[in-house]
Amino acid sequence: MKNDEIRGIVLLPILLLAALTAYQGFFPKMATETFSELAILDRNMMTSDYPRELHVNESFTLYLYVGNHEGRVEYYSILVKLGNSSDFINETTPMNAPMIAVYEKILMENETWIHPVNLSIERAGVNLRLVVEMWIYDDAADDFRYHGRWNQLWLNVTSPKPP
Amino acid sequence: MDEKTLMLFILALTILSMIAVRPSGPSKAYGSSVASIENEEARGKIAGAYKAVAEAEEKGGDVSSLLVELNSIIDLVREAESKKDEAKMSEASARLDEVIEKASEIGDQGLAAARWKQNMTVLALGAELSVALIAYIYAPGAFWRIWMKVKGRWRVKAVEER
Repeated sequence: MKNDEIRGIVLLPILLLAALTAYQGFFPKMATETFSELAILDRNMMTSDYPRELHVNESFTLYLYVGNHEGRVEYYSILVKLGNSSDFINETTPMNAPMIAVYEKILMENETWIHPVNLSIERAGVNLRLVVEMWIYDDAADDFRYHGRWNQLWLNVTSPKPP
Repeated sequence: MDEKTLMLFILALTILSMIAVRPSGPSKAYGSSVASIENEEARGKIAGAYKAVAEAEEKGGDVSSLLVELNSIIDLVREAESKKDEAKMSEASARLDEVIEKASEIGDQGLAAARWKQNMTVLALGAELSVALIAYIYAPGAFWRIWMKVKGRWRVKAVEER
């Protein structure tokens, strides 16, 4: 065995360790795709038993699920709106409909928040849309900005139950 | 039209079409009416506290306790607003001031921790490279010394060929 081969065998693990130390010390964070999560869960915190048929002013419970994977602390405002089937919403335009509830929460990176919401609908209607929109506080604009995340439930609301 | 011009024309068309179908950037719909808190002063202060906490986090500080406090203050402000309770509103305002003050301290701690970590990395790198240099110089000698110790008393014996 030659001296250079001995040097190579001994130096390889040491240099690998040095490279690892330098990488962890100077490049601690990997750039990954950032995103936020928004979901509506039913009263059992599942996705199978959503209310479809309701009476006016009948209260029902849902859960909001919000997850922060934006790589930093985020300030969320979650809007609950009630619209019709003709009201428009997409990733860039929020729905222009009456707001029935607002919830705010500041979340750390990788933190999730499940929050119960008790709602009731004050008017009857067929194919009403209960829309949940996610807005995020924008430091530069000093205001909340529509984040393009939204969910909806279709509801048929009939006149109040007879006493 | 010669072949080169045609190629340039196709390239320009491709670039133009890519620009045309490029997805639009983040949505730009803003609205302060989406906040649940109507009191302008309280809302401004919460936003200020949030910015201070976000800055502290960017500097590497552990802001988890501040966020718990800030979320609890948001609930308190909403409660104070719904009940029109001035005492609770002033309590929330005082607590927000504390959050802003603590955020600055935690941000400084984060910066100090980052500097310490960087110094430790440089030290560790220096130590590892020193070990590498020592190994480069002395490893072959050490190897042969150990080899001699282990196999030095071995005798070489000629084996007859069959």
